[in-house]
Amino acid sequence: MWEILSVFTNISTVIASLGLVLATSSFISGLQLVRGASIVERKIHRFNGFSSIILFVVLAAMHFVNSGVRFWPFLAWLTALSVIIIKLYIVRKRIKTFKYVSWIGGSLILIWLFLVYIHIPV
Amino acid sequence: MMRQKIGIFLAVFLLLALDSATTPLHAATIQVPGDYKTIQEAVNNASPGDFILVGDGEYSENVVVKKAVILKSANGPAKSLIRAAVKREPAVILKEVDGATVAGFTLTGSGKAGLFLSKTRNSRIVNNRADNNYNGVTLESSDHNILSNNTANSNVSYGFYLLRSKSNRMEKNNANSNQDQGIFLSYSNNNALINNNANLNTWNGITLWDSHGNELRENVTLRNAFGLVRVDSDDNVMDGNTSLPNIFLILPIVLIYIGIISYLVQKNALRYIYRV
Repeated sequence: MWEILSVFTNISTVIASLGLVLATSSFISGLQLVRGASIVERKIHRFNGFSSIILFVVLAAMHFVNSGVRFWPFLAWLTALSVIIIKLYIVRKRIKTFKYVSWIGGSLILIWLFLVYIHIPV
Repeated sequence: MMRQKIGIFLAVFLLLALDSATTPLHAATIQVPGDYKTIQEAVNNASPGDFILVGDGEYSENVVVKKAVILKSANGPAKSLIRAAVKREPAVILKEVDGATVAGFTLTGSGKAGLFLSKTRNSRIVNNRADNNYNGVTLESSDHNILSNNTANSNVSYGFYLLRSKSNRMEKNNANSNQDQGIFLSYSNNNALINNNANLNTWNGITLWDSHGNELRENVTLRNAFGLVRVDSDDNVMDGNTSLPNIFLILPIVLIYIGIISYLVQKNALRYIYRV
């Protein structure tokens, strides 16, 4: 157990882990919201969702400060950010693709899983 | 008179002989590329005990060391790189040497090994990087050597490979992201592996294969397929080693679980607050 906890000595691992926790909570509440509006679910979804976006931006900024701006990592971060923005756009505008919004939410979970994976220290 | 002359001559001879015996022989310092253009030339012209100081740069060679010289880079492995000129040979090989030192090099591009010790004894391998070879560092029938603070990453087969080698000491080495195993001891007995890291290797972190009487303490093997593996190996001392092969699977599962619990806690808290 200590070995699992010891990975949290790295700040980027802590941020990525917190991001996945928040994204998971946001995703579950989002699924509940698709079924029907509820003030509780909406607040959970928004709070956790926006907090995870802030953590995403912090993580990206830390990456660029530590490793510099290189083409492929930059493209990867930009792609992930695009998924977040598209998701927000679909939810806000309620366009036709709204029925696929849970799939985009699922892809956000995958993005956070990947972020956790690459930030586990060796 | 003749006897007196012979006596004086013998006395002077004995004094000179005694003087040369008590005065230490000074090892020469040879600089590359100052004194010799290539490392191999410097080694060929060195005497046992000589110090060969290699300047910054990339050297395309297959250095063969057959005498007990001290081969050291001026500014560490980041500045001095030896790339195997002939790919099927090691970048540096120590052949039947007693008491050599190789320190501070990056050794790469070999289809055999970055550093190869063959029938070598009492030598020191310190602060080298043996990356992107077939094996990083190979010891074959080599005993009583010290390997410390070396790195052998991203090799095709093993990071460190000890074959029929005994009583070596491996301390604070890193063997990560190798395509087979991190540290592999095969038919190698009575070695000490202390405080090494073998992480992210495709198969085992550390393997003992028909190897007995080894001492493994405070080694860390994370995120390998298997951490520490013993096959037909007895009487080995294992103490304080850390193996956690699945941390990259365990951690996300734990985090998602925490996320679900967090959702339930928030939901109940908000329900209580909003009375819904």
